[in-house]
Amino acid sequence: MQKAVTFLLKAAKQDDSEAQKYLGDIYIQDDFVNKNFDQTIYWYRKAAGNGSVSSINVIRELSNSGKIQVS
Amino acid sequence: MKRFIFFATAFLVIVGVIFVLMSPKKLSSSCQDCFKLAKLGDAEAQYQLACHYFQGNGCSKSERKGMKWLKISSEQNYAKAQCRLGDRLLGDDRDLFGKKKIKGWDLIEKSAGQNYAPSLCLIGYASWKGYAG
Repeated sequence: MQKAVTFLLKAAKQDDSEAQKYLGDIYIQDDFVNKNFDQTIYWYRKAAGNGSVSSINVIRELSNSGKIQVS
Repeated sequence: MKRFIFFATAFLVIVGVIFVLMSPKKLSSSCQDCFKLAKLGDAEAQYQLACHYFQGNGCSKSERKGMKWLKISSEQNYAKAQCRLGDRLLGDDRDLFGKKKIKGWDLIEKSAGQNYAPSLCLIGYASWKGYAG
């Protein structure tokens, strides 16, 4: 998993929305040792800002369930 | 005699229609520009020309010509072309012995070595899902 994160981070830092979305997916996984909800939200927001529709939908779902606040 | 003229005319019309449909579409001006630059060895133009052929955008759609230009571009170590060609080889269903998959990953890794984001993303995703080592 760490290899995946290393590669995805390199792509995500270049504003690759797909990589940003995958990082959001990974950081929320229960079996990921570095599980981090803040990181999940950070990368989903980045991906959404770069036009990832699925990330926008995830943020909307998290917002509707009260897990995050969208200003 | 009338019947002969009718059939001869019909035959000529059908042959004409087939000829028009089969004849390659003339290259659009943007395609022609790409073609000129591609011939001169410009890797980006070669990549763009391949995309034109894959989509039939400004030229007749041709998978064979698209692959030809993609290969030429990737041989120049052009990351975009290596990634796209690698991705196509990975998705090739006619890969009976897995050679295309090996070649595909090799190209994607070369492209990732140049810090090309879509290739880095592909490798990251494949590692995450257990598709690659």
